Amino acid sequence: MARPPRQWAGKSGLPDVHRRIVLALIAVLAAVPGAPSAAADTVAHGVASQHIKKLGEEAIASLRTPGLALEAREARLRKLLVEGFDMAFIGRFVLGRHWRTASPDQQSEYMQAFSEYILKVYSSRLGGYAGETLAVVSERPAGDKDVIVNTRIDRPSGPPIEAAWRVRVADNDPRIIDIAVSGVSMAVTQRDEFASVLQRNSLNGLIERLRARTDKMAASR
Amino acid sequence: MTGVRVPRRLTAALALALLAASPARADFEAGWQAYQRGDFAAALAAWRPLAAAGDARATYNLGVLYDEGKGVVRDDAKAVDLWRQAADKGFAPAQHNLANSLIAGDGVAADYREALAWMHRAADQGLARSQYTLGKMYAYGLGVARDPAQAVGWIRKAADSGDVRAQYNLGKMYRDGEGVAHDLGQSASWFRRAAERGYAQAQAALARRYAAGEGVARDPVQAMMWTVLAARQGLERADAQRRAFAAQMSPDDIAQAEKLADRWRPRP
Repeated sequence: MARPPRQWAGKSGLPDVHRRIVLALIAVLAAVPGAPSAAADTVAHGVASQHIKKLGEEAIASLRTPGLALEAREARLRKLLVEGFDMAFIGRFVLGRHWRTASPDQQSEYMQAFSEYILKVYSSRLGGYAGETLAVVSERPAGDKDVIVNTRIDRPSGPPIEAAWRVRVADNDPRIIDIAVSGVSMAVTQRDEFASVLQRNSLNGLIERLRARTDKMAASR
Repeated sequence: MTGVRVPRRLTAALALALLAASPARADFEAGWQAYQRGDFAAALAAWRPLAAAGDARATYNLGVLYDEGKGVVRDDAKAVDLWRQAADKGFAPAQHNLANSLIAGDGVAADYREALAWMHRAADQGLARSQYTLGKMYAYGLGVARDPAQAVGWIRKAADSGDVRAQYNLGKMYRDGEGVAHDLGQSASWFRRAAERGYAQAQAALARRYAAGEGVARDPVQAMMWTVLAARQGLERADAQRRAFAAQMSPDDIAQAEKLADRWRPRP
């Protein structure tokens, strides 16, 4: 059942591009893998493409488990996100130059707070999701270490979204390190947002804010 | 029926009260079921009238929907407004969330002093999560002068109630002698309590206690088992630690530790 797209639009704490990235994430994690075209089929066997397809399939299984409470679904999605993304890499990138000047204790506290924050933001948005379709369109190498997997997300509520997943494959362990929607990178967007917070606050201030956001309690019965 | 005899008039009054309360209760429950299904629009529709009638829990839940953008356009200021209403009625989770919005500056100007006051009220009602956060506010000096002894006091309350982050932090405080006398035995024992419940940070910390023989008898196999468990949860630090330990262990010991980790189950 499709919900109105309105809930993703309009006033929100996230910049517009960030919302579209959330949509792409939803799609990949909740999608029924679409039947790829003959051309797409030849490239969809790469390790990186398989990684994204598998993540999608496992997410569907979690979301469709009947009788599972919302918090339990969110917890399963968290686990998939932890396994699918290289959170440490993303966290370091997003902090930019502030990472190098932070003390080891600050680095560890930041990393803990950052991954909790990202997991909460995405799992709480995905947990109630019902379904869109995703097809792997193509896959190409990017630099020495990465593969970009291009996907197309078809949705009933609007035009298709083109999402590119940057996957780093090390030791046969593929991990997503970035998502770009319409060419705009999630990691870069997040880095800009943190940079503007860090202009007015110390690193400890940023960590405190991330913590406070994830410390909030869920709905109560 | 045998047993306690209830005065007839009281029974009648009870029945009346239940009757009066049940439609609201049924509406609340319908909202809860919708929320669990992920039908947030229906949850919103069920809880909104209850909130308008002054039900603190429904008001609080509406705030959660606005805060997370579920079934509604995300609106931090609206969430703060709703939580403040429920907090004024004494609803502890609303006090807790309002305090966090005031710390983060979400939908309201950041104000540590007011945040501290609300966190205190929730902590006084026995909410372990608030006791922990209040302890951290004293530890960092947020909204109040830094006070390590107060920090330990509140974090200990939360740890005693079973909050794993508090148990882990208490372990660190004993280890570092921060606000409390340095005590490696106590430190290891608090790390263990959180580790046994599956908290990755505590598992990695307990592993280091076993590796160094600090507060526990040195035991490389136990050290390896706990660090493997933490690494499996994606804790990067534990992964590095696992490689360092492995370099100094026999293949047999490593295999035994991994077998122990496979069999390990978190304590509920």
